[in-house]
Amino acid sequence: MKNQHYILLVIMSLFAFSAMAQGPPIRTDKPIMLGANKGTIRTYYQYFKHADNHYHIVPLMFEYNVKSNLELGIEIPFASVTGFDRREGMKPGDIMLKAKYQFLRKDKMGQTFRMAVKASEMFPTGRPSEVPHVGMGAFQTYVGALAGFESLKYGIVGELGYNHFSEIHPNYLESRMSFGIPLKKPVYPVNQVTLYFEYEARWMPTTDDHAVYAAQGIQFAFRSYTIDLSLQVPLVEKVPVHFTRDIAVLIGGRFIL
Amino acid sequence: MRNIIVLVFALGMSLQISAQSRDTIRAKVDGMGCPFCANGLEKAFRNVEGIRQFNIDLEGGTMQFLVPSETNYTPEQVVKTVDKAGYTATKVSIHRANGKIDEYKPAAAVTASAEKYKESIFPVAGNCGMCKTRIESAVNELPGIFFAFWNQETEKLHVRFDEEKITQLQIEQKVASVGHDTPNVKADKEVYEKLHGCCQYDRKGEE
Repeated sequence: MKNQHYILLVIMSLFAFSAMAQGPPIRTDKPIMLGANKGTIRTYYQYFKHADNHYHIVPLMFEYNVKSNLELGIEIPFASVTGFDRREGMKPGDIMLKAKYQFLRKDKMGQTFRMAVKASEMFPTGRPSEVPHVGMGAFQTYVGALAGFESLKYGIVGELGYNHFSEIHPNYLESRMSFGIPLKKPVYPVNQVTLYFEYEARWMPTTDDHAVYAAQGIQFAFRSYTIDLSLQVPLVEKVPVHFTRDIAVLIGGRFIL
Repeated sequence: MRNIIVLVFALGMSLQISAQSRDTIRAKVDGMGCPFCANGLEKAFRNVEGIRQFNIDLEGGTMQFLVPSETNYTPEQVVKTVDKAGYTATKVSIHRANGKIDEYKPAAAVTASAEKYKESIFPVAGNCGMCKTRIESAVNELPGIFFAFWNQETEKLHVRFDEEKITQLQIEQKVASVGHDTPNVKADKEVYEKLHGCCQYDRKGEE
């Protein structure tokens, strides 16, 4: 392995940790679950520009805790494309099923440390366009691990995973990082505004392609609802053309059942 | 007119009876690192019939609510529900309407000698629910505290503590530092005056 690969791995490991003060991050997963028989409904609108096309993605996500440490979920993206590769209306993209299992929980007053493993399978149900969410034309299997420490003052969450394509596309390692700054004192019932700084990194070992994205977001959390706003820009994009994306804007929300 | 008076009286009596026949459940819950954590915890107890005044203190790591006495809710049920919600209950005390106290003792406390814990009940001045939260949170921050319960009606603090780690005087000093007078330690005037209006109890000997 070349030296630059080691450097990239170290950087990705660093990026695998996120600091999150309050509330669920906008673009990063978390190992903390909210108890058995609880669920979350989430959706957002995301716009990004890729090549000569404009993509409008609206995924519907539902996650449910069948046990206090086991979460199952489904994500159904709807996508519409305008521009050169124009498509009429919102069409379903690649559907994903996912599961997350929390195997470690260390609780103390006002703080907790948790670890979880997660896996997902994305099915090629969307029209092949070689654009994520819209349709990649191949099965995707993702396995990853999360570790997180959260207290009332700050939180750190890390995710590192591997995405495997059944065909066509190069596999990649992925890590995510986010840092949240709460603007209000943590109170219950929830009433919080949080600024998020999030980073996403990918590395394709077989081709040595890599990408780093940065996102700035703000989250309004009230009782069982959140409203999320996020703007993501590419910092480094040395990846196949169909993986590239220009500025991505996300507006969404979630409801905790 | 007479019927109306009788009706109002009967309603008042039934409300009072209803208020009196409720058990107060208080638990220390570890793992609540965020407000949404508390959200999950409250929802876990939503199915308890007749639950009232559910309150979570994130900074103190405590949870408190009232249930009708006839449900005969046990500490073990509280621990189980908290665990199902994804957190850990370390101390549970149920103050029954008839004055009895049921407690949950975590495994670590089982190894401790019963004689090591001293129980004390003494007056602590206060007025309202905010005073209760403030007093109990302050005491629970101290080392060696097994449980602390301030009765709003009698204005007395019931505390069980490890004498090897802390003394009653130190507990009283802590309570006074947050603005509440105790038998041996009075709160500073400046601290008292910073209390919320509804918390400013009548101070003996002061105008």
